[in-house]
Amino acid sequence: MAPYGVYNSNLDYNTEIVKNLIIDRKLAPFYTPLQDFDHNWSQDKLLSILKNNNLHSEFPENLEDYDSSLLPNLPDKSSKHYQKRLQSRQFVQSLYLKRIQWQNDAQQRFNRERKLSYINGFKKENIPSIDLLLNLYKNPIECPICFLFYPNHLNKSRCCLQPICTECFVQIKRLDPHPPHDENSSDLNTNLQSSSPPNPQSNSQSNSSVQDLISEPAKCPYCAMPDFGVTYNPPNNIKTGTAGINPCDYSSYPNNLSSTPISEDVIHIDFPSSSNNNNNNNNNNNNNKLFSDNHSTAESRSSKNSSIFIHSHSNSNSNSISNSIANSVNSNFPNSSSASNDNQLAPSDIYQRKRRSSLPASSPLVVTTDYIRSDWESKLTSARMRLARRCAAASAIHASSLLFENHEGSSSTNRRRTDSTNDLEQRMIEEALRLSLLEEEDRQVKERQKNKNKNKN
Amino acid sequence: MSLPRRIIKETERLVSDPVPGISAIPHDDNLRYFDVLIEGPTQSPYEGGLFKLELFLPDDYPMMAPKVRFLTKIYHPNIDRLGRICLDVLKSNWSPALQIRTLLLSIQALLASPNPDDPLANDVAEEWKKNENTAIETAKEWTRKYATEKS
Repeated sequence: MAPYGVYNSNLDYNTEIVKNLIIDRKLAPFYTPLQDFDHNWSQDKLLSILKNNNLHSEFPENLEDYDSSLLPNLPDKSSKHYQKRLQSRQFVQSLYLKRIQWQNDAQQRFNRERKLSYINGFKKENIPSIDLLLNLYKNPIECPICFLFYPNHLNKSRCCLQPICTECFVQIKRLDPHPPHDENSSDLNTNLQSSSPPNPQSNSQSNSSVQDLISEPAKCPYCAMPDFGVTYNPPNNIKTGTAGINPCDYSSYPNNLSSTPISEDVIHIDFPSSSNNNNNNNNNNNNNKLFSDNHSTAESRSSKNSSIFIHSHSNSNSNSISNSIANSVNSNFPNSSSASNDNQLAPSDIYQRKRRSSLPASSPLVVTTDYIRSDWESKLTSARMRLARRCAAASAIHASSLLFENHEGSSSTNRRRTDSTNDLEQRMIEEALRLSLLEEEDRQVKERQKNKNKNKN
Repeated sequence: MSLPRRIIKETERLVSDPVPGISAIPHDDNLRYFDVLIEGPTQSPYEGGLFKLELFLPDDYPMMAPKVRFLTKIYHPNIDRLGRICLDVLKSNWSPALQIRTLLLSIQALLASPNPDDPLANDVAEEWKKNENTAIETAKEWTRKYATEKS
């Protein structure tokens, strides 16, 4: 349940939500990607690569940020602030090292089991069967963002149905709060008209501009539709009717990698019999973290004239699995007579409807970027607060410097003027107090809400 | 530090299938740093010029836009004296689905159609709006002066 490690940046999304989304099959799993793929590869070549694929990308061991030798060890005289920063850095570093270690351990365990499974022929719970591997990876698609190859069941953007892997999806987020662009340019234009140098951070930034700070929902990277969200059509899922395999992707590839001969008679198998005969059942509830494909239970069963693959989540109960089989056997598996060139999947009504229209962001099937990062609103308010404080400070400095200038201008010390300075300072302090009080109030309100929510749950 | 697959593949594709009029070559010692050459588009004041740019892929590329800057002096309302470029796809409209290739094409398009209404170099933009012909002449002159020596 962890990303492969394409991106070095911190995982700042809500991991719990994402994990549950994957379990609920609303988001594609973090598949282990293939670095390369060639449709001319033989089945054996593909297999040998798959069998040696690492669970996670290798860690750059000596990232500069985490290199312990770079951390100075002397902070006796240094400021408290600096010490704090250093401490947090050391903490992050130790976390990082720990992560490397855990990941290595997991990989080694996985390698051991894999060896036992593939070479010595033992059945291991967490090791995917060869049929599953081949079936998942036989027609991989390239994620257009990280350029890695994934099994052909990726998330699709809700608006334009473009594929995106989960690892890239969780990286997409709102931009940091910023002033609206239009205002910026009009600002520049007014500057232009008065032919003064551009100075967007001019002293006249009032409270209203603080409220103007906006945080827009992330746009679709492909078609720029606001409120980016994705849907996931899990293979053989009853909710969406049929698998997430895109028929046009399918037809463009020759079917030369299909792992098992698919017979002309696709047979309706009732579920119990298939699961009873099933040798390759990977039930991997136990070790969720070990294997990134772990959500998918492979059940493959070949008989003389039938074959069926079911990838279903281990948590789904057998009822839904059997239902999904009944629904999908017909639609999902092209029979070999039509599989030659245009192996169009028999599309179900639901699937066709889905293909034609985009879904609204509010649809329960759609996972938006805000949903996995529910903290954007608090970020926005805190950014507004910060700006407000900075404005107050800036105008205070500005005002006092004006006053000082005046002082110097009139070398005589005027009593009334000092009074007004004091007055002004007093007002500044009051304003600053007011702002921080407001902030505190806000925080408390939020906390209360949070508690309320907690109680509700 | 190992380079993300995406950057490796993009670089390979830039080399194997270059965009006409644009070249981007990574530095040997830093594969995130590219030397870029863009030909001035035909029928623009920059025609005949060869403009040098630097392009840097930040750590969080492709989630963040590359950093691009003109190294050759250029007279353009959306490019300032330091070579910084005012272009939406470099800022808020960046999308991870864009690539180095598409970005450089956008910059080339910006040369073909300057936008003085959203200026970065205010003096240039003002001139461009008030007196377009003179501005275009200046742009041509700068192109001759700064963008044709080295090639």
